[in-house]
Amino acid sequence: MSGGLGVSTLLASYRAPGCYDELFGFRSEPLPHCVALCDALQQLSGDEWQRRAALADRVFHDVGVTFTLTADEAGVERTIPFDPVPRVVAAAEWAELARGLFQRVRALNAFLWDVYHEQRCLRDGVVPRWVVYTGRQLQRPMMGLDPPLGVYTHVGGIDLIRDGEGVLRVLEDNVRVPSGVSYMLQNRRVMTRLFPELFRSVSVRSVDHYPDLLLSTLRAVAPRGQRDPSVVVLTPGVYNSAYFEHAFLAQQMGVPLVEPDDLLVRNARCEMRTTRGPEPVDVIYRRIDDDFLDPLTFRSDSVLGVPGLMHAVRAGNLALANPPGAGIADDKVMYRFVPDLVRYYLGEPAILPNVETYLPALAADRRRVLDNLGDLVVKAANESGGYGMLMGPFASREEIAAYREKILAHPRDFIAQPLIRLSSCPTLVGDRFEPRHVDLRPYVLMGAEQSLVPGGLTRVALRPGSLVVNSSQGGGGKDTWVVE
Amino acid sequence: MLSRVAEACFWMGRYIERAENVARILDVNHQGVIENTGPEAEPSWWSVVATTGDAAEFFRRYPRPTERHVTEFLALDRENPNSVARCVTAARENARSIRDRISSETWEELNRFYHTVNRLAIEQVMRDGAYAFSRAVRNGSHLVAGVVDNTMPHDEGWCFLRAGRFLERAGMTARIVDSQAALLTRPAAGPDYAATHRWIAVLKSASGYEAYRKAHRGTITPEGVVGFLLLAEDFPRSALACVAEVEAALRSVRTLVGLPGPDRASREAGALAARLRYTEIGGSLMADLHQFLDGLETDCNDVGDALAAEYFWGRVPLRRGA
Repeated sequence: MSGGLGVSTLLASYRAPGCYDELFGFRSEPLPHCVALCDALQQLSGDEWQRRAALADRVFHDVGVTFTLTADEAGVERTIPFDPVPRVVAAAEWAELARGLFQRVRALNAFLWDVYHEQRCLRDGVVPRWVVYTGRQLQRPMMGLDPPLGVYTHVGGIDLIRDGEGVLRVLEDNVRVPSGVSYMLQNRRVMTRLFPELFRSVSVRSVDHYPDLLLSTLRAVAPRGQRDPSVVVLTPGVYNSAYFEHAFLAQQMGVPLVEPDDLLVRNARCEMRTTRGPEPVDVIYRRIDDDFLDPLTFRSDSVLGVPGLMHAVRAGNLALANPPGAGIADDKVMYRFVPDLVRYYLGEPAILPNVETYLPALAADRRRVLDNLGDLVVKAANESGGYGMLMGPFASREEIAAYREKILAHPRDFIAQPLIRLSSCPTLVGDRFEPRHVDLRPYVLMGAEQSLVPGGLTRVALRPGSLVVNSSQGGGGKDTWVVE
Repeated sequence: MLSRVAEACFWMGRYIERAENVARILDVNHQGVIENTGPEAEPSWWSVVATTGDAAEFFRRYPRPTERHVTEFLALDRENPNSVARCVTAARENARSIRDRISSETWEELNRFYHTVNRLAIEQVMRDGAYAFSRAVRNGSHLVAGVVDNTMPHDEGWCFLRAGRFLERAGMTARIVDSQAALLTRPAAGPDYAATHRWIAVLKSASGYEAYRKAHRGTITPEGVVGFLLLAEDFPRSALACVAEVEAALRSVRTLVGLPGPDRASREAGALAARLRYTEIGGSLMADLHQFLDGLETDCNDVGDALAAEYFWGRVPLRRGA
């Protein structure tokens, strides 16, 4: 230890709050694959940590890595708080995790193809018909359509948590337009810029090739196997909360970032308006919701969107990643059936377990949910970002009563899960490390083949004891290290 | 290049330049009235507001054109679409909409510029003086321009950005002259030191004082200053030099886009440059200076309109190909 008096005690007083810790497990000694990092962490003094964390905030601010809150006044940009202590995953665990993620996304993709074609899974009773037919994300215009290579889940963000026993579980699937990958990349950039010494003692796998993988994925699904397709990223515009990410990914892939008004459809072909006149578009990585893609097919009152876009898709002249209607696979009610889908479509048991989930819409579960609201977490089936959530153990009587009414009125719109004590990870608070709860979102790609980078976005609940990691609810981000 | 991106480049260039020039207009008047801050200076401040073309907007919210009110209105007022703060914000909004196409250095510099201007309060501007404010804005603008020129490929987007920058500058140089012209073209009986002082302020606010001195061997005359700021071929803020830059940028666009022949926008810019080249600065022009400057601005606007029609599509339905 070279940092002077008191430095080596930075982690000495660190105690995880009775849960699994990502660096210490259940013990007070670092896990074997975290020893080198823990040593390196203590090379810097608390003051120095604070100084560099402030520099990191400055970088995020200058680069303009921002998001906008939907419930906030329009256009107020914030940076997601960045915590400089990395979250670590051992290479061996990652390998198993990657297998599980690939498997899960393959099953979701097979399910989507099935739903929009033969619906075998409904006939065979693997998924109750009402789940699919009442799903708000089911897009009937997609029935019978054949997306190139049969791919629906080009980009999937799978949210993982570690439970009280230290077991990684899937908490949520996101196969519409999962966001956050730019933070994964920026967090790594900032870490290498500001904490180079940490990387000297630990060999961390790179995540920087994500944009290349994404571009290969998008090129692979070009209509009619075109060799040199024109790929674009479609954004709703600068006021979208994830605009930074849209621009960042377009820039990193070297493809145009387009807004709906830049596109037009003529003769069942999609084109963009350029200074040279109209130019063809073959593949759209769309970061805009289904409803706002094409007013002629989806919401006719939408002022956003490209009239006729789905016509180009139907004619086989345009690929959308991910296609409309993929969201039926990440409906939170559907989630409960995903392990069954894995077994049904792939003939093997799910590698990654779910969190136990009750559906108030099922008569068998309803009583159990209503009687135990005080112990359960209730989530709205079609919300994201931590909105519309009841944390039973921390809720008031009034809140619980209000939720009971909502559930009774619309049982299909809710799911309930036991409260999971998420794992913790050391997090810089002032000039010391304290445990804060974390989750993990890796990004799984699927084109001609499946791929993912070793890492993901680790979100951290910055309020002490909080179990909600969403950035809209005061969460921050961490770099995620897969180490040998 | 996407038409929307080209348009955003163009407006990013224009708004940065506009911010800089509004700051320059403020600065020239501060220098002009430096020994005279009471009610006697109000006609002069009034002339500044009138030049920017936002007089009605000004009087909706301020009772009198005092130094403080005009400074606040032009420097920081969020309700005034042409205040420095709003211009920098608009430039940043345009940049944000194309941040995948501009270099990250450009974005970061403009982002810093934005935060610097938007952190300022009027009290601080009044305390530190208009010169300090103007210098900070000029520096911010120059830094962005320098980073643009030195980190971005000199492609279509860069050409549109330059076209925007120089078209704006041509018009604004005309306005800077116009802002003082009404006060200064009244014939004087003898040597008018106050007027000379003002013309020097005009030159300085356009960063042209030293260049003028070199070109004119020292004498400050209204004809000399007006001629220099409008027609000097080699001074980068003169209206003629700016129009010539616009023409060059538009010619490059044409080549890069790969469409044949000159378009209407570059023809109009070329014709305007030629007109300026053969303009004679004399008594009749000086007598009708305001009208001449007005015409110059109209011509600049026509170039902008032609450019938009040619490359930006706007809301116009499909015009080309089929």
